Amino acid sequence: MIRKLTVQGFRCFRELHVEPLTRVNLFVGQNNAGKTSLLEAVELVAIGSIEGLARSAVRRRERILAESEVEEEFKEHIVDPSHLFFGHNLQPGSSFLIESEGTLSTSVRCTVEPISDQGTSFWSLHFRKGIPGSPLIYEKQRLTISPSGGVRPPPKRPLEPNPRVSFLQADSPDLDQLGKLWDALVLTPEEEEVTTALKIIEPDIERLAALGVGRKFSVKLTGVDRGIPLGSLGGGLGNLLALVLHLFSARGGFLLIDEIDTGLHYSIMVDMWRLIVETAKKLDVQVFATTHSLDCVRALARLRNKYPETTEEITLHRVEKEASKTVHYDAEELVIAAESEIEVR
Amino acid sequence: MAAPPKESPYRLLVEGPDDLHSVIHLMARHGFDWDDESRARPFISPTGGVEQLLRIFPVALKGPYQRIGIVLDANSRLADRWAQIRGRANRADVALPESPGSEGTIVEGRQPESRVGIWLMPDNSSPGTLESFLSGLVPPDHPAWAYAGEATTEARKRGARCLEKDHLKSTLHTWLAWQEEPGLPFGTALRTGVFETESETARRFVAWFNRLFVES
Repeated sequence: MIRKLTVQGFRCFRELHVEPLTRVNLFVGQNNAGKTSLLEAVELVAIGSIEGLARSAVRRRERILAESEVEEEFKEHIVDPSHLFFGHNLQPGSSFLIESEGTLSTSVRCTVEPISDQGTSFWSLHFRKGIPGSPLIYEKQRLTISPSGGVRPPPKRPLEPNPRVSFLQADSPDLDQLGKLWDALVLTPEEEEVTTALKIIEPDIERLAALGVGRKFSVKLTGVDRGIPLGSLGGGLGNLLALVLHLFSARGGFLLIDEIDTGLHYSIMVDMWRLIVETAKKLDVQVFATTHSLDCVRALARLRNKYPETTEEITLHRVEKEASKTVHYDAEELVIAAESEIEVR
Repeated sequence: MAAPPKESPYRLLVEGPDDLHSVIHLMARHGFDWDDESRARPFISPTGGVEQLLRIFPVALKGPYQRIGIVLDANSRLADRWAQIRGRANRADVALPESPGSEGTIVEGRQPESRVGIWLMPDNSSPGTLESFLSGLVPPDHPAWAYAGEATTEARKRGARCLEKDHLKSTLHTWLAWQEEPGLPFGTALRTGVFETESETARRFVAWFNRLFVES
């Protein structure tokens, strides 16, 4: 569990301190304030290896402009790391630092350095992992930066689900990946929990299956004698399924959800939060999510009113442009804000 | 007609509906156009009492508001009330002076260029309430005012259950009961001219409100 996060020079953050962090953390703020970047900072420090470095760049499709045919051919595999640095500035001396404190106490520093033995035109990206406040470095890795400013992410497939860190994006879920996550749960007691979760939206669902070559998710509905494609029941179910499967796959680690309210009607949000808080606690997952939705924020307040035992588990942080710390609200303050229609976003 | 929306970047917290309507109509009489959609106007929340207002205040201070004001009764111990307010503001990283300004207090808020204003009824220096403020707007030498006070005292002697500490409040409502249109609520009495709109204290309140919410 991360209790405190410090981010320096990473993406849009000159310097940002985020605390206290609890079991479930919701980030709000204006567009471009850095909510997604904050999820990426958590991702990077939680993965804690150079393998995590390019993930956000791949997701954001931050590619280099190819200057030769060879580069054009490899373009899809090469990312532009400059955007990872404050001011999009890639040159020797550029660096960022992400530190977490708590049971996960890790310091991750990434610097751009010239490669001395190959002349000045080559740079490399150095990745160092240690413990905050300690000069010891536990891991040091590097990637070479090509003359056009690109790096090739390490050979491990960058979007392969990491056992400890799950990142769920706003756009429609990747069914291939969901199929794999589902396979890991089939015939375990958790299979039923996934079905139970889907009942939040559709109470008539009795069973879920991923069928055929295309791994089409289908459900068995009460009183219907054949499988019904999940997709035919509306987009919200797919999003909820993605959320639940990622939650289970993050067991003992971290779940990062960008725009958690996507595709979900406000009426189910209290149940969604209850599911997240209860499951996260049971599986020891720490959850970080972003939203723009007032309904989503108010649902957290309603959750706290309905289930006072969730009080200690929830924190909301507003990320403000250029501020050096987030503004945080505990569950009781969220209730006060909801009752008196005070804005927190 | 479009009253300020609750999404307004300006927010004013008051104790209850009497305060809400008094502020609205006093300011309207002083030229504030609540329906002017071309500018930000404070959304006013009646909070349900001073304790509730003090609970909400720090949460509102943390919010993304450009201007936040609170209007509340000093009651019997002004210094204690101020200490409470100061403690709550401190919780949200907003520093208040050691004592309230006589012209009403306005300080910088958490956000860049934001303002936080505090007005303690009646005048930031005396103990009292909204009713003390409004009694200052009773036309001077009004024939029934002194008598309303005497009648309230007499009524209590004869067993009326109103409390000594609420003498002014009872007197004010008694006096309002004796107008051409009896028993108007405070806001309406301000709007229709039963109350005057000029007093030294009212002038200072209006200036405080304008400094907080109108001046750029």
